[in-house]
Amino acid sequence: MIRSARAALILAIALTAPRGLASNPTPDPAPEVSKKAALTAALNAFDQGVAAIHDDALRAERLFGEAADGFERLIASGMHNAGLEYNLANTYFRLGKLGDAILHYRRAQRFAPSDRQINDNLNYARQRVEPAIPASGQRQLLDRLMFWNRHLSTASRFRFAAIAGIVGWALLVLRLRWRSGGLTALALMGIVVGLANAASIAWEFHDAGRHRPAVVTQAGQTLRLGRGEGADPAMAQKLGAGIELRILSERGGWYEVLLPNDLRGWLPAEAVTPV
Amino acid sequence: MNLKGACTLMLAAGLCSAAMAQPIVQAVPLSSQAFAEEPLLVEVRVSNFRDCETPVFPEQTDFSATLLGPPSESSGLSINNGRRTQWRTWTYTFEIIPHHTGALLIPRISVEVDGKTRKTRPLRIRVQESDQPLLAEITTDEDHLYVGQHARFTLKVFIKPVSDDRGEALSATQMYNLLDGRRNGFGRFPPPSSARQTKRVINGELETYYEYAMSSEYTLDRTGPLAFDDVELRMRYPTRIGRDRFFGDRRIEESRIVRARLVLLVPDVLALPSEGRPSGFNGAVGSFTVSATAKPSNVRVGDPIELILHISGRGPLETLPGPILSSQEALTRDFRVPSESLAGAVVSGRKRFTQVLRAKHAGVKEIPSIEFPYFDPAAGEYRVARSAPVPISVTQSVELDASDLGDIKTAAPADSDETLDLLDGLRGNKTDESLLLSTAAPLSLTQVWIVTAVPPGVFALALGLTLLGKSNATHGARRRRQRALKRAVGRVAQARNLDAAERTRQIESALVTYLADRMNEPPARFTGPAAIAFLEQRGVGAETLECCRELLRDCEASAYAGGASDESLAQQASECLTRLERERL
Repeated sequence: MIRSARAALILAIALTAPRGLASNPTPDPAPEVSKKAALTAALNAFDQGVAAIHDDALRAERLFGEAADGFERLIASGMHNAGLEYNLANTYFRLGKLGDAILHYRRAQRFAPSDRQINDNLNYARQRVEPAIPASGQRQLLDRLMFWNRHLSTASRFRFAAIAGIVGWALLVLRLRWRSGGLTALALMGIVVGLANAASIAWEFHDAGRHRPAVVTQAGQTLRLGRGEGADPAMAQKLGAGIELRILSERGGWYEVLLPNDLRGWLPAEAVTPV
Repeated sequence: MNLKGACTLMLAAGLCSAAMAQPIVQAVPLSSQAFAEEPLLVEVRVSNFRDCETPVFPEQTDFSATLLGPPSESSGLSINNGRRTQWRTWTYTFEIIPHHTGALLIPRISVEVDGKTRKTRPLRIRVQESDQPLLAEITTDEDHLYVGQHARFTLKVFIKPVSDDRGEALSATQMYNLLDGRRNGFGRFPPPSSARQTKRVINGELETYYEYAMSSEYTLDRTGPLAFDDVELRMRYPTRIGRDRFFGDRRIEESRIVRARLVLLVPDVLALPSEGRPSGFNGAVGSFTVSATAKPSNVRVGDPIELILHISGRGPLETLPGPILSSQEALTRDFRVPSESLAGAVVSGRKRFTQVLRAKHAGVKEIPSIEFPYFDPAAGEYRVARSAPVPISVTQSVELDASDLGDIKTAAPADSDETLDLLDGLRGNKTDESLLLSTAAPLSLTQVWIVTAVPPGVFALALGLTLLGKSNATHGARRRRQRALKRAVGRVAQARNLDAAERTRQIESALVTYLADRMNEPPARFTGPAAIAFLEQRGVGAETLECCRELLRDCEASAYAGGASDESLAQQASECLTRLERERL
């Protein structure tokens, strides 16, 4: 009886493992046709805007505006994916809205951290942000320690954690019946990989909850030592659109923020958008 | 408010209570001495009123008057012979600056109190020539100043030392600490680290001053005369210093407010000349050098090359604009350059700019010198800093496909150069419909916890079941061992009632079964001589072994020849079992 119970458990793990994986991008069954039409219209408006940049700047701006509206509507309808965020970011870049562009590149990057196009364009946009604020040593060290976060999305890491963890623990269950050094090593490897990925996701949730990443979306903001326009400036130079920072707290329409160089200060909430 | 003023007020309050609390308006100077071009504080006090407007100073040419903030309020309650009197006073403080020496008449000041216009008495004050105890001047080493220039200025503050009643002068630090401007009016001038004594001629006499020098750098943002509006110096200058009765510490007993007349010994700021202005000049003023590096140095046509420019030198690096690369013909001949302005950062005293270039054709050997035009204020002319060329190697692109160009869906223009110009480094949109119309469900921390905690939980369950099975098996063996003697003794007792042959088998079987139960083994292992061999192997005591051997021999003899009696065989078996029970098998 005990043996049969153990065999049933192993079978149950084997059968449920694929169902426990992170959700893959799945098509929304909602009005597919109208969404396709809206997507095509937005893509076409963008392409026509690119074609009109040199000849008719006003027309190009109008077309980019239409494309941005289209992408925004699709995202608002629940289409959350890297591609739409990336396209919207490109459109805002063309409209000269550097802050909004970097905001949406960052959102796209959360879905696909290793996507070359997203990273190239994000870096390209970052080169235009004034002033350039270098990251502090502590933040650079954290980024280095969490190096795989730059290459794997949260969903991918979740899939790794699930597969490696389940396989590792299942092998450990098998080892109860068949004692083998190879089986033990494989099991422990799977468990370690699974736990490492789960820990990195847990850290990401914790870090985002504590210090929400955000982007300055309105240019010419003065970082102040306190809330209110009368407070003294925390730095002489004004912050341009696209400065990436973290929100520490919110009070009375103002955010207390932390710049990449660890400088703290307050900014009006309407000038900052969380990623 | 000094003591005299307070007494006057109290007297006024008493009188006013007696005189049915009529409103009182009076002007009181806070110092008996007044000096030309130095502030004199005058208080306008209004008592016993319901409503009061701000006093209006009459326009005068002899002096200027400034209201220093909102009025201060004082109030009180007195009870005299059971009569309760409440009073309230508002005090407006004005700063009067007389413009010349001699008699100064401050005319009647009008105040609207409870709907009626009331006036103070006129004040007559004698104004003396100032001994100028506080002086300040701003100088620069530059002969010419230009807009956009980052220039160094020196603020020199001179304070005349004051001596106490024993003729000992206050130290330079003590005098500096009386300065108000050191806290709020010095702009970007840092506090001085030291001071020295100097002599200056004031009103025809040589006077000794403490001199404090502070330097700071400003970027000049407009042409014309400099103002330094943020530098305002004033101090509470002691006029009499006494000593504490108990400890002998020095303390200021009388003082007056003095304001420094800031003397600017600096030239006016000039506009940048239009003659000789090089093309591509971007407003940089100072003296600069530029260096360039690029990576990677081996590329294909169209591949991005990161060009890094470092600009160092004397000038406003924080606000320094980058060179306009798209206007440099030598560069745009071989490279595609984005038209966006460069953003830079100051790193280790140098301004660092980066830009992405793309080679237009194979065979390009170097990135040419990058020109950075600037205006040198020391020389008074425009100059151009040039970087050294950066050697690179550009090979033919293997294939310029759609992905390299950024997935642009529109038909490519005939001229491929135009396509690249449109892209200017920004990769195109994604067009895969299945990707763009998908939804990635948001991940929750609960899912992470489930995935992390459930598999170990399942393992723990399986481990528990395994251990339970093992435990049950071990428990059965123990129970069998514990019941071995009882079962064997029972069988021996039963054997007494059987016939001889059967009895002998039963006794022998009792011994074999006992050993099998003790060892949790099948009985077949311990039949006949195998039992003796087993007991020898386990190192049983000699007496026990001999007892068992004898029992088996007697059983055999009894089975075939009817040897031992019923009772003796049973007793012998019981003794053997008792002995075996004491042994550790």
